[in-house]
Amino acid sequence: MKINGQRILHGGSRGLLYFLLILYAAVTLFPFFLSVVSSFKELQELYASALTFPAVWQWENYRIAWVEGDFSLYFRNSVYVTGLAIVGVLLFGSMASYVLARYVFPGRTALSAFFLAGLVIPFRLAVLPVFVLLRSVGLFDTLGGLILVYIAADLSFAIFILTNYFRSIPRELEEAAVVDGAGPFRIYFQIMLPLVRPALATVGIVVFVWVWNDFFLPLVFIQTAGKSTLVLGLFRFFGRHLYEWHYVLAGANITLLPVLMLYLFASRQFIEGLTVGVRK
Amino acid sequence: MRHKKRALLLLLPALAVYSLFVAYPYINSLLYSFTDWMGVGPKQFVGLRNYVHLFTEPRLARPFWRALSHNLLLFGVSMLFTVGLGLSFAFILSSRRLKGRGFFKWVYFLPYILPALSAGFIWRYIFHPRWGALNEALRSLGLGDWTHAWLGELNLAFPTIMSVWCLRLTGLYILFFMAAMLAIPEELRDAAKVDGCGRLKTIWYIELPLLRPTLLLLTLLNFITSFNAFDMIYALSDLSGAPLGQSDVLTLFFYRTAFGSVHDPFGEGLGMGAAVASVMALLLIGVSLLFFKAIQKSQVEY
Repeated sequence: MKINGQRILHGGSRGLLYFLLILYAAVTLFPFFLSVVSSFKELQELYASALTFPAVWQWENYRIAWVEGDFSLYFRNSVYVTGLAIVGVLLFGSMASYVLARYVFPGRTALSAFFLAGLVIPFRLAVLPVFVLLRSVGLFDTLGGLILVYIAADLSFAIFILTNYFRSIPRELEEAAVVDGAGPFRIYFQIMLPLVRPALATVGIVVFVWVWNDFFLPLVFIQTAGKSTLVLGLFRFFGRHLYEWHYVLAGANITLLPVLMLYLFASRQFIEGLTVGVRK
Repeated sequence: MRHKKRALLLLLPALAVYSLFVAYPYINSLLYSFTDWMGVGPKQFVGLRNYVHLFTEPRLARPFWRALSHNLLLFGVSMLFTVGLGLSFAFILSSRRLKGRGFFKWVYFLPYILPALSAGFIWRYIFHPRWGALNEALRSLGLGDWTHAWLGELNLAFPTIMSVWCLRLTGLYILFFMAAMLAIPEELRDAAKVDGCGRLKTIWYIELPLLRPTLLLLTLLNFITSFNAFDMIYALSDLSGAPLGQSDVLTLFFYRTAFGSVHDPFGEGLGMGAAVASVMALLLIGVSLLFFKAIQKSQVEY
């Protein structure tokens, strides 16, 4: 590989490869760059040209999206929903995974298969009965209902990753604790949970991306404008400001920013987690 | 044993939430599809009538088949793109002498992790016929004849959407292929080299055949993703798959059929919506099973 690699990278072909890599990187980044620049323009500037910088950078556009467009409210809703969904998935998922990985009981294989089945069929196809169920228990159009649905929908993935991780941890640590008379809850919380932290981080990141970016489930389960998540809020904002692209782009950038920041600091977990958990 | 019984309690929360909100709804969805329920009032059992209507009544069958064909087209085109570009870039990036590999990986993966709806709106602005960056760039290059209403013209709208879709997914496939290539032992390449294989021959005769299981798995994933397409298409067209249904896909059709009755008078109700969902689920399960078999057969041991 090294020798071959050297050959392929010598001279002109090496330059060509870099050119291709940079060209594709530019194509990838350009829309986001353009979105940032355009979101600081005045409407007249947008109409005059899409390919110039603003004369004066208009922070006002962001204020309008944040305050008058209610993005501050949507942002809080999204943080609340995403945060609790992550906590729920990690807690319930790791508890179940621990038992599935460590205890032998009748029906264990069937139960594992039952949980994993959720990985194959898109959850979207089950939304109608969930819609009816939420309506009948008074959780339709509530953030709490939405959170419960996210926890349930993402458990399969969490259990898939965490069960494997628990299996890879040597048993000696728990066995010593059992001899000391510790019960399963104490072993789980005090010994096992700290050991699976890396896997929890990966699952947490994936759930964050899925929940934060999701449009479909809020669209189906949330009706009141004030209960919108950020992405659903952007969608409604777009409907009200059809020709005011500077506001729409400012709004779009607000939805992107938190994911981007997290990606900057935890790109390894993003890549690890999302190449295993491809679903949506 | 008491210890074990108490441990099983740890399973309960996950089991309860998952059964109630995932497993039970899947089954219930199938049951709904045999009724004419509108979401309120009594359910009337109608047997297979929803399915018969879905496949035979033009007002349902025409958009259904058209949406299905668009999903298949999306799958085919995104296979060409993501596998073609993904493999090429993965081969380039797996050269160890290359500088900045981490940076390129980071950039290529970026579109995949950002909200598809937001990215869709940004692209919608770029494609805007009057104010968009694409037409303006074409005009300033003296290519004014090439300008289009990219998302408004009947034969251009879906190809435009598909290109954005592919751009979003390619980074993911680059990473998949890079991971798979890393798993191929160095000795195999060295042996090929000793036998007089050049770099391209090594790729063609050694690496590609070994990537077969990965390719099969990615084909399946691509299929599932293509049938899940919703956010990006909604952002670049609308709920009806504008223009004139040229960008319609099954999830949009499903949403309209099921919830149209709640939001507007044209919907068909939850029964018909559930029938659409069941057909889609059946299709996905069937294709998944086929692929799982093929993948198992093609496993390689190093």
